[in-house]
Amino acid sequence: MEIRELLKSDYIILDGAMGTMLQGKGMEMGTIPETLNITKPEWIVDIHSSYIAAGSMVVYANTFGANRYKMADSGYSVKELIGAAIANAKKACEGTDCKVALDLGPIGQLLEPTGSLTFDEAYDMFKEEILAAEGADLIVIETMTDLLETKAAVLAAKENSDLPVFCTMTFERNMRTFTGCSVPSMVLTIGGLGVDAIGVNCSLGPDELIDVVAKITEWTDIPVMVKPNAGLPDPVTNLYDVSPEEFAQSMRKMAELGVHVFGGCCGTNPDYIREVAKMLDEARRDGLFEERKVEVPLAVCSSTNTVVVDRPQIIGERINPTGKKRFKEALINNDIDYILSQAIEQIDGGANILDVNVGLPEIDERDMMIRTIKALQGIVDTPLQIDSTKPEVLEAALRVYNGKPIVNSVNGEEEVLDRILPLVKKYGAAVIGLALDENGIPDSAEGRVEIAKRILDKALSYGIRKENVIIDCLTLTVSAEQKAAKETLKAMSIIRDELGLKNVLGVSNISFGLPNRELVNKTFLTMALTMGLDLPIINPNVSSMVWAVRTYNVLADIDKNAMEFIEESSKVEIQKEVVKSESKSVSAPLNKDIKSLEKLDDRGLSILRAMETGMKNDGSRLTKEYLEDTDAMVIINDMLIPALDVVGEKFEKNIIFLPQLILAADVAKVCFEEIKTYMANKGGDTESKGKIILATVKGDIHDIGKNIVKVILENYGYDVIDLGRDVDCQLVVDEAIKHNVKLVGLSALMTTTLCSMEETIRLLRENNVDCKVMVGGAVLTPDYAMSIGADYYAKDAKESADIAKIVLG
Amino acid sequence: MEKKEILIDSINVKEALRYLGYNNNDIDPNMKELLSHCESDLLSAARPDYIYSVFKLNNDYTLEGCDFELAGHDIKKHLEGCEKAVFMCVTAGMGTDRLIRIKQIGNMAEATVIDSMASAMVEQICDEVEEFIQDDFPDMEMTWRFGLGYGDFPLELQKKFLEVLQAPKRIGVCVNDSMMLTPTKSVTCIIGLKNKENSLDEVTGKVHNSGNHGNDKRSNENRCEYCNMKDVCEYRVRGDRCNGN
Repeated sequence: MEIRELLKSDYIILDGAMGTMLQGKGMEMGTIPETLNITKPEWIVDIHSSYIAAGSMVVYANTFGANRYKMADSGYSVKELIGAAIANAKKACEGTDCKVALDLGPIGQLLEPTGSLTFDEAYDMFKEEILAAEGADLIVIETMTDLLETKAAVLAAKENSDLPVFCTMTFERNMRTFTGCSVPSMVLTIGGLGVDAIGVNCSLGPDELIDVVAKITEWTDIPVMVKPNAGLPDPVTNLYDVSPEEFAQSMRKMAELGVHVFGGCCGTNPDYIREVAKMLDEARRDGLFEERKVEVPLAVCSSTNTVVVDRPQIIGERINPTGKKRFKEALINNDIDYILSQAIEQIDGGANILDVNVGLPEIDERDMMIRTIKALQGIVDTPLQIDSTKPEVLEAALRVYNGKPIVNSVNGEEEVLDRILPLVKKYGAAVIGLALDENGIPDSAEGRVEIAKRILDKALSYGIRKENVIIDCLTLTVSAEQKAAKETLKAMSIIRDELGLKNVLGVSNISFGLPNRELVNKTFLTMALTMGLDLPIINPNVSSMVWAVRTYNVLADIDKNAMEFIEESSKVEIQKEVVKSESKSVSAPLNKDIKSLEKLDDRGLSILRAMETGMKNDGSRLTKEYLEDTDAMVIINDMLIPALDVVGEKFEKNIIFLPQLILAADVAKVCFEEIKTYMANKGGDTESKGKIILATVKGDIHDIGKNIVKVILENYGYDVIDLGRDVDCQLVVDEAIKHNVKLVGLSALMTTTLCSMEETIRLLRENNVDCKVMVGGAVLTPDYAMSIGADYYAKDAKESADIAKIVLG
Repeated sequence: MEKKEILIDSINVKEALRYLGYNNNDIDPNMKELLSHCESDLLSAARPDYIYSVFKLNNDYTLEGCDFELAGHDIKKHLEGCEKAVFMCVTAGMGTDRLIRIKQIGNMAEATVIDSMASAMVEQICDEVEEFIQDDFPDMEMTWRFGLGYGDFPLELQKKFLEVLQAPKRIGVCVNDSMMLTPTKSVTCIIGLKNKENSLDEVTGKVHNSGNHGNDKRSNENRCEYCNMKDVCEYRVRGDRCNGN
């Protein structure tokens, strides 16, 4: 029987531990278990055979760590090891119905952003293993802790083979993996990719995993699998504490929850499998195995946070260049930090999901989308909505997104549906269908519902689940078409009541051309909520809009006992207190013998006070105030820079320390941001004092030092091109030439990465790049800096600003 | 027996401040506020974890049941007279890295403080785990923690060291191609265990003075001797020490 047929039977029994058995045969710690496929094939065959004798219907070939990275020092190739492993398993299966699984464990290096492995590199390593697994009957991906790595493995399996794919991750007592991935996030994301079975392995003993398994079964109708450890290991003896009989008893509870595929992980042996087989046979006779029916609600997620659309959830609309000069400028200048700050601001404002649109004719949208998604998911846990009309942009984003996103959007045009829906299906996303087609937006509610139906049918025909289709009945400007608002609202109620779908709506358009827009928007939002709006797309920084939703939730009996309403209200009170206390003057550090103080007038001194006390609000308020009657460059040159000089001098004299220096720079940043926004709106440019490239060198992922330098330099008015960390040596050269940069700053934390620093400098010189190089980092010394060809050694961030002054003025 | 849990409910702020260059300077109210804020953020984001394995040390500095070469002269000197070697790895968890990353977007000052606090926290975790180990072996004396990369003990062994401990699978600690641990706030080290008689001998000078448990000052001075930064160390210039940060 094929695996997919077997999945329709009552249950499947997998095998137990391989590592534990190998240790029992005398394998030393530190031995690479996969090499035993070649050096001790008889051990491996024997272990498989003993599991088959105990009742295993599937054995995992000894390939758990057989990837390029882990096998680098093994003396064998991935192909040799996997070939031998599959052959050993096949040999043990001869004459039986037992199936052989290619076993894929984690690569052993962490993906970005915690580590430096990229999604594509991970994908390639898994692909190599899959292509080597000729003769396997299925692919098992197990012991995963990083959702994105798991996704890379599943995509590699699905794109390079037709075999069934089983996938399990490893959860801890707090129901999360090491990377924080939650159970619903795993099921929504990995289940959405179309695996054949999903579940949990390793982690803990079976009793400790009951809650995890129960949660999995709530979220999917895909067959659920479980392969627990034999209890918990003793930290000294490494022995596990659950007996085969106890193990089987606990596994019966799993069967009662609807688990379909059973096995054992660390600490188990054929005795455990034998007991499980016995238990399952009894359970079958007891009629335990019934078909599981699960209703899954519409939900989207990042790897750590799941948003269920069982109540109105706010989609933040601000990551979008349309009509925003400052945002456009950020996109063109590749200023990811600005985009991230927009994300954080919206989340603080109350956004539950963030729309991400980075489309601008001047830039490579695909490339920008990938970088934005990667940066966002490293920082925020709010699920994302990918907003583009281009399929290649959507697919690129869907690939690297670490979770289940919403695709924004398709419409009723046949051609659009056929182009986008297959992507939505393949990556398991939800999708927004706009109620319009090649003939435009129908005037009537019925016309729009008609299109919605067409979109739904088409989605279903592609295998997209119904709950993942969301309809946008479209907001028209009421000042142009007054009757249209009513039609939109009516259409939404039909979508909710008759089609049973969720509604999404961009609200702000309604008030275009009218005075008092905020009130119009808020009122329309409230009307829409009562007519079935589930996902309002709004500007969450406008608090009246967010509060309209919160208030609705109370009045519609969604926010029980107004708990959330009250909690959020109290937060606002606290914030008011903070603002009040910020305006109080706090004693600033002493001013003894600070020469640069002389340059400051009263206004400059006020700014200095804001900097020294870290009061961003004050800094921003003062800057705005001064901009009313003072030239921006005067503010920069006569107030901000001299104030920073005072702070810098105090730092040098040990009157203040690093956190205070940065606090001051952060305030300066807010002031500069005010000036930038002001200038962008006026259509002018702030005068740049020169461009500086900063990079943490290849192989180095510790970049906080570089980022501190960046904050300081930016606030002296330099344009910093931040290439990030783990930066390829050649990229520094290319960017320096491209932007005609006169100063390059390189950082390295470890002795092992100093060679990359040296190499980068060598390449800069070899390519005759006309620039100075300053270097810094914990292990560097001035002598060493000179010996690798640097022009300057900066002992700290303040000194890097001094160097910039010398080089760029 | 269940794995003992690491309980850290406060950060050694003094240590963190030292990393930031403070030397008993006054802390102004703003800074105090910032510190307490950062401490509570870090405590809720961090997930301290650890793993250790104990191996019998043979006379030729091989390990019983473990295929791992104690390469170089310095680690052997460190383990001289020891019966066992404890391989240990601790981490403040991925949440800590993530918190520092998040703070770097909007609040670099907090990021810097939390970065230092996290370094202090890792030391605190190490200290707790040392107590667990001492509880396991109450009759034995422990050496100080000898890190990979100290002296001539090659940092390149990091990958294999983690595999021996199964650290990637058990506590989520990996290493990148440049031998940096990820999550970044993690530590690997080897501790030697010797019978108490040996250390008695040590007092009389019969056995080399490699183990100094319970004498922090001496052990840390010792540690500096193996440090590749000892000639340029700013802490040492100030008459201080970094404690491995």
